[in-house]
Amino acid sequence: MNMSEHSQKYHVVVIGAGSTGAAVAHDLALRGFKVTVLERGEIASGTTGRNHCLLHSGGRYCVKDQESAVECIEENMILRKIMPEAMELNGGLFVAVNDEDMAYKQSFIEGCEATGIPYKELNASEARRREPYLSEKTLGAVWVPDGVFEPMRMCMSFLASAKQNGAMVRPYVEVTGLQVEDQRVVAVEVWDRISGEESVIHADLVVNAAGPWAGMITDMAGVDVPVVATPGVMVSMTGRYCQLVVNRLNVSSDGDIVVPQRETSIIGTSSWTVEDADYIEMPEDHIQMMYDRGSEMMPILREVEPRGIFAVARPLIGRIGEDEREIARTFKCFDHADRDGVEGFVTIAGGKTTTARAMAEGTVDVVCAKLDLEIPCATKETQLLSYRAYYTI
Amino acid sequence: MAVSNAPEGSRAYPGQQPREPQKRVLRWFQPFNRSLGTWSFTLNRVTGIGLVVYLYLHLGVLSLLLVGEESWDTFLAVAKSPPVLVMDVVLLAGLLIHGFNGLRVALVGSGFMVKQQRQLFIGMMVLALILLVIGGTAVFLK
Amino acid sequence: MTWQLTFKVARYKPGEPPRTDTFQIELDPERTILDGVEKIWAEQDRTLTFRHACHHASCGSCAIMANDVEVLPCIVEVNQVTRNGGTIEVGPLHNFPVVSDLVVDMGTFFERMQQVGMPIIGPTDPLDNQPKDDFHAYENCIECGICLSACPVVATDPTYLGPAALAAAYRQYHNSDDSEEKQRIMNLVDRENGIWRCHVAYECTAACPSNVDPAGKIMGLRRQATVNRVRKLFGLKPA
Ligand SMILES: Cc1cc2nc3c(=O)[nH]c(=O)nc-3n(C[C@H](O)[C@H](O)[C@H](O)COP(=O)(O)OP(=O)(O)OC[C@H]3O[C@@H](n4cnc5c(N)ncnc54)[C@H](O)[C@@H]3O)c2cc1C
Ligand code: HEM
Ligand code: SF4
Repeated sequence: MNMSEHSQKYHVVVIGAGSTGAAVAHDLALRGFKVTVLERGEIASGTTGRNHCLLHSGGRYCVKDQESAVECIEENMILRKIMPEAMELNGGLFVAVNDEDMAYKQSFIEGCEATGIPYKELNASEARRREPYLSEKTLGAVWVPDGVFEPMRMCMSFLASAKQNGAMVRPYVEVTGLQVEDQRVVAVEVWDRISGEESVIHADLVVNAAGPWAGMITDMAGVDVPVVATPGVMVSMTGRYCQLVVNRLNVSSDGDIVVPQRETSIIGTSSWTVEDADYIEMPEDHIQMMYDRGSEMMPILREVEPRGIFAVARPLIGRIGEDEREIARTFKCFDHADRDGVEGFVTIAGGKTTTARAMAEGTVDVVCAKLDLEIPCATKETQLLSYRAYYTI
Repeated sequence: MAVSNAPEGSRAYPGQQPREPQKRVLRWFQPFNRSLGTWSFTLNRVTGIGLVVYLYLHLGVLSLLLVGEESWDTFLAVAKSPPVLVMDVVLLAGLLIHGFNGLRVALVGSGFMVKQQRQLFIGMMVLALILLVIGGTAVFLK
Repeated sequence: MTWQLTFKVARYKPGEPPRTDTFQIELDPERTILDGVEKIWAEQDRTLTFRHACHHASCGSCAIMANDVEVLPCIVEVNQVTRNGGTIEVGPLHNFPVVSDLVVDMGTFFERMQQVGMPIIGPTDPLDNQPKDDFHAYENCIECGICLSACPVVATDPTYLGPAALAAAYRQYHNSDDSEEKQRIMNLVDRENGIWRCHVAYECTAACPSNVDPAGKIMGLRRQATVNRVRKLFGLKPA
């Protein structure tokens, strides 16, 4: 049944143009909604643009957080088909450099089996033939279908497709307030950071995809979401010293992934919590930890110069004070009608850039249900436009 | 209350009217702060224009011949005075720089010695300098 | 340790004359110019607009002028351009329409890149035991626009295709084994406002932060165009 003539009646405002907001806008537009995306900065200027660029295979989560792992491998397989242009499908290795790592290998492989992640075992010499810069201490490795993406170009690709289907994308427009009437969000107040103008935009429904800033948006409606800004540090080294993504074959920890991108190798990441994610002061010891931990897998990384050092905050779901790494990476869609009795307002938070499409599918399903529409999601099969089209549509 | 969708304008920044860049002719003559390449570009332009100016001057001077023998003789006297000889050296410098640099532009521009274009520029300028020294001495010794 | 720095920022808002604003900030000397700009936005002036995403020279969106040269401010530490107590001047790239402050409109730029159509992910030499179609790598060009800002020809001729698009055309020409595609690329670049507009100043190559060597590639295309013409003269197909 074609319901898009019904969805056309509804104007949905999406707050935030990170991977989540961009994917939500694409899904909404594809299902026929009238969409406006409001982003206070440039596309992907929040968490998304500055992340570690790893198209997760799920390997990282396959032992302790299998729900996330399944999500990752499913989305990995979808994204590589619908958005080949924004990703490097080079694969990844989980590398063991000590006996403890080797002992972990069995549970890792069982995790891959359980979550459906394709894998291939490599002995030490095979691994080092593929990646000559791996440590001499390498004992073995497991290959998985990791990849490398360009987060900004991913967002632009989603948004280009959304624009193609009629969405309006407005960078440098900051949401400053939500108008609530009779327990229903009816409009958003915005401030155009370019012209300085303030205005009000009517909305039948508002999707809050403001990442680690989601809590500031919900405050505007007098409700609350448990999103914790949890930054991590990354160091991009001059020179590409691996062709595949190199992960440490062990329980997830700090500085245990090296992502090669263009002519650099990015070591990441760490984790702590902050109250305000607008400007993140990087702890020196976290930067040092990247060199130390990264060079355990690839000693050369200690000898070369850094090119860029940066940090950005995850929008994790949890409460400040919980052990950050224990908070599940899986996303959550909050319908504020159920939670707080406020209609017309949905918050989507958590997740990963790898799972942005799935997050969008879940969110737009909720939107459709709220508006009593039954429109199936088609983003799995829909080829996305080139990111360059973002500028030409 | 403002309408929900902003009017057309820039495609990436709906509703905004970006300020078009001005043409920056002065940029041709600002090699400072830039790499060696702009020096070659600027030198070539300046000397090229200088040579055109000289060409007209030269034609003007030659037209003195039409005026008569006397004015031509006074001209020759002026032409042998030191300040004018210095200008001759400047002209020679311009010709040499422009000529050799032009050779480089022509070579590199047709795909030859692309990898060594920097060294080629330096080499050409050294050559121009050597010839300038020889030529300059000749001008004054005569 | 932190340094006291003065940032002089070129400001522009539609309908207002351009101006320069001065900000004092404290910054660790190992942080970057972009960190400084972001800090000013976060702590002092929320009206300041600037483009940025990846902070490690991969997305290409943050390119600006700093102390009169094009840079990716995300990879230039403040200690590389000034000293404690010093001043850093920042402004938008040259030769692009200015939307606001440091934000320039890359619309025409991307239109040309799209016309050329070089995929940003290109095939690379496969590793010995890696299936070929499984291994692609990003092209070096991050589409930052720095080369166009540095080019003395773009400064006066907005119709010139520009170094980035021409360098991409070179890659596209040589990556493709389809003769129609090669011809399409040649038709696009072998004209007055294409490869022949260049005056060999090599500023693009000097300024490019990503080792693309656009000037060298323009020369390569010129050579190719010449070869093709000579071959045509003898009734041969383009090489
Ligand atoms: C260190 C680190 C490394 C990571 N590495 C990876 C990885 O390798 N692979 C992976 O898949 N995931 C990774 N992630 C996770 C992933 O980056 C995030 O989950 C994802 O980017 C979140 O996207 P988002 O759109 O929800 O948030 P954001 O990208 O932050 O988007 C929110 C947007 O909302 C805007 N906004 C905020 N307030 C307002 C307002 N008032 N008005 C208008 N707009 C507003 C912000 O400017 C921002 O652009 C990493 C995360 C971190 C922190
Ligand atoms: C000695 C031999 C000469 C050679 C090899 C030569 C070569 C060249 C070349 C290759 C260019 C193009 C430069 C570019 O693409 O930027 C050029 C430009 C030019 N030449 Fe010459 N030239 C010579 C003599 C002259 C003379 C005698 C004059 C003046 C009468 C002259 C005037 C100019 C001018 C005005 C330009 C344009 C400047 C510019 O585009 O920057 N040239 N020359
Ligand atoms: S060629 Fe270099 S300077 Fe030009 S856009 Fe590409 S990366 Fe930037």
